[in-house]
Amino acid sequence: MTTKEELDLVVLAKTGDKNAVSMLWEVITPKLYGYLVNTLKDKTLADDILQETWLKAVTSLHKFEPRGIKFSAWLFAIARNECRQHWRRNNHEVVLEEDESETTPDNLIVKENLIDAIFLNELLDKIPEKDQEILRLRFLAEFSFKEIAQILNIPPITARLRVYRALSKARANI
Amino acid sequence: MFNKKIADVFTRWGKKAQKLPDRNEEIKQIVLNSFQITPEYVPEKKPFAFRWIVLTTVPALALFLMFNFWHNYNINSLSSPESTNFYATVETDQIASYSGAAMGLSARETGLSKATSFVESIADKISMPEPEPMITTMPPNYYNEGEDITDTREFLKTTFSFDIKTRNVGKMHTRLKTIIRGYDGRIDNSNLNEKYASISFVLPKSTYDSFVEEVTEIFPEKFITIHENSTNLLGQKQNIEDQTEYASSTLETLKIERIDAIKKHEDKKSASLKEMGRLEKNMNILLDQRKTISSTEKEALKKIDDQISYLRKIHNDVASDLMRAMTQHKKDLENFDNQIKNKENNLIELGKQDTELINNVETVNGTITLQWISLFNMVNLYIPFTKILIIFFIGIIIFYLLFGRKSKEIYLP
Repeated sequence: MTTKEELDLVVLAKTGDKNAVSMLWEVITPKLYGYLVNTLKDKTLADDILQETWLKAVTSLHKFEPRGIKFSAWLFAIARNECRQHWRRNNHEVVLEEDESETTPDNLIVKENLIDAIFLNELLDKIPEKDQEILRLRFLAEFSFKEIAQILNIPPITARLRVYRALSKARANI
Repeated sequence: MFNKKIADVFTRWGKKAQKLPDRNEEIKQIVLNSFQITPEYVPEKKPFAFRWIVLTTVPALALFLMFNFWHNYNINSLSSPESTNFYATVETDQIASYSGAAMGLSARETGLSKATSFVESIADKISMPEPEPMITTMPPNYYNEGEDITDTREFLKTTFSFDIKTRNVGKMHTRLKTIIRGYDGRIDNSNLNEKYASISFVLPKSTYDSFVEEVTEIFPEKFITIHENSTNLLGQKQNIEDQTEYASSTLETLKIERIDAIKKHEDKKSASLKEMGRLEKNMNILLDQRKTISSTEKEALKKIDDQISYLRKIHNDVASDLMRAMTQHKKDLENFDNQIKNKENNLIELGKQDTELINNVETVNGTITLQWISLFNMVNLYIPFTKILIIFFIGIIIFYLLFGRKSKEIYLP
C-alpha cells in the first residue's frame, strides 16, 4: 500500500468509516503481528499488545497528524511503546515459545524457508536487541529508512547506518 | 556485497515472518467495535523548526560576505605599486620628452628620466615583497588631446607585465632570462629570492608576439596574468614635427635676413666710399685752385680754405658713419650667426628626439614577476576559496535537511 493510499484510508477512517479501518487492519496487521511475535517471542502477549495497539490507535486517530508520517509507522511506534511498557513492568522477561504453526505440515512445504527462518532467528538472537529491532523494522515491517527514523526518533542517516551495522554484526555471527 | 546478500536473506525472512494472529477476526472486531467518530484534532502550533539553522547560518554567511567585501575593498583601494611604477614611467617619460622638445632639450637633459628611474626603483622596492595584481586602467593620454583626427598614423608604445605564480621560482627565473635573451631582449633589472622574483627587460617589437606565445605556453592559463598597455605617441611625434618645421623655417628666415643685411651693408659701404671719393676729388680741385691764387688775395684764399674745411668735415662724417655701420654690421652678423647656430642645434636635437621616439616605439618594455604559490592557493586558483566556503555551507544545509534532521516525533497515545 502506498503512502497516499494509506493516507486516503486514514482520512476516511477519521470520518468514521469502519471499512477503511478494516482495510488498514488487513494491510498492516500481518507486519505488525509478525514484528510483535518476533520481538516478544510470545504469541499470546503479541495478541494482547496487537489489540492494545490498535485500540489506542483508533481511539486516538483524531490526534494523528499524517504530515510526513505514515499511519503504519505511527502504529508501529505505539506497538513498540507498548512492548517497552510491558518489559518495564516485567523486567524484560522474554518468553521463548515454540512456534507450533511452523511445525504444522502446511508450513513445511518449503523446508528451505523454514531452515532460513530458524537460522535467521538464531542469528538475530546473537546480536544486540537494538540491532534486532532495526532489522525487524527494516525487513519484516518493510519500512524505509525515513520511516524507521520516525519510529525510533533518530535522523534518517543514523537509521541507515544502524541497519548497515546490524547487517555487518549478523554477518560476523554467521 | 556480502551485506547485500544477507539483506536479501533478511528480506525473504521478513516476508515469511509476516502473519496474522490466530484470533485475527476476534481482535479485529474488538478494535472495530471500539472505533467511533471523534472530534477533529487541532494540532498545537510548533515553533519554527529551522530557527537554529537560520540563527547560525545567516549571521555566519553575513559575516563571511562582509569580510570578503572588506578584503576585496582593501585590495582595490590600495593602488598597486607595480601599476604606479608603470604609469609613472610612461607619464614622466612622455612629459620629459614633451617639455624637452618644447625647450629644445632631450629628456635626459631635463632630468626627468632620472627622477623616473628613482620613482621606478622606489616602486620596485615597495612592490617586491608582495606584488599585487595590476589594475588595468588606461593612463590619461595628455598628448592625444586636440590632435588632428585626419592624422591616422600610429606610433604605439607597448608596455606589458606578466604576473606568474609558480612552485619553482628560481628555476623559472633562470629560464625566463634565457628566453628573453633568446629574443634579442635586454635585461635591465632582475631580482630573485626564495619566493619572489622579478625581471624588467626590453624586447624588439618584432619579437614581442612570439615571446608572449612562448611564455604563455610554459605556464598554465590560471597561473599567469598578462597586463598589456599600448599608447599611441602620435602627439609626441606631431610635437617634434611641429618643432622641427618651426625651427627649419626660422633658420631659413635668419639665413635670408643675414644675406639681406650683408647686401644692405655692402651697398651702404660702397655709397659711402663713393661719396668720400667725390669729396676727396673736390678737395683736390680746390687745393689745385688755391695754388694758382697769389698770397695777396687773402679774401679768395680764405674762401677756398673754408670750402676745403667744409668738405673735409663732411668727409670725416661720412667716414665715421661708415665705421659705425661696419661695427654694427659685424654685431648683426654675429647675432645672425648665433641664432642660426642655435636653430641648427635645435634641429639636431629634434632629430635625436625623433630617433629616440622611433626607437622607443620599436621596443617593448616588460616586467615579469614570479611568485611562489602554495598548494592551497593552487587549488584556490581553480576553485576560489569563497566558492568552496559557499558550497560547503550549502552542502551542510542540504546534508542536514536530507539526513541530519531528527525525525518528527511521533505522538504516542
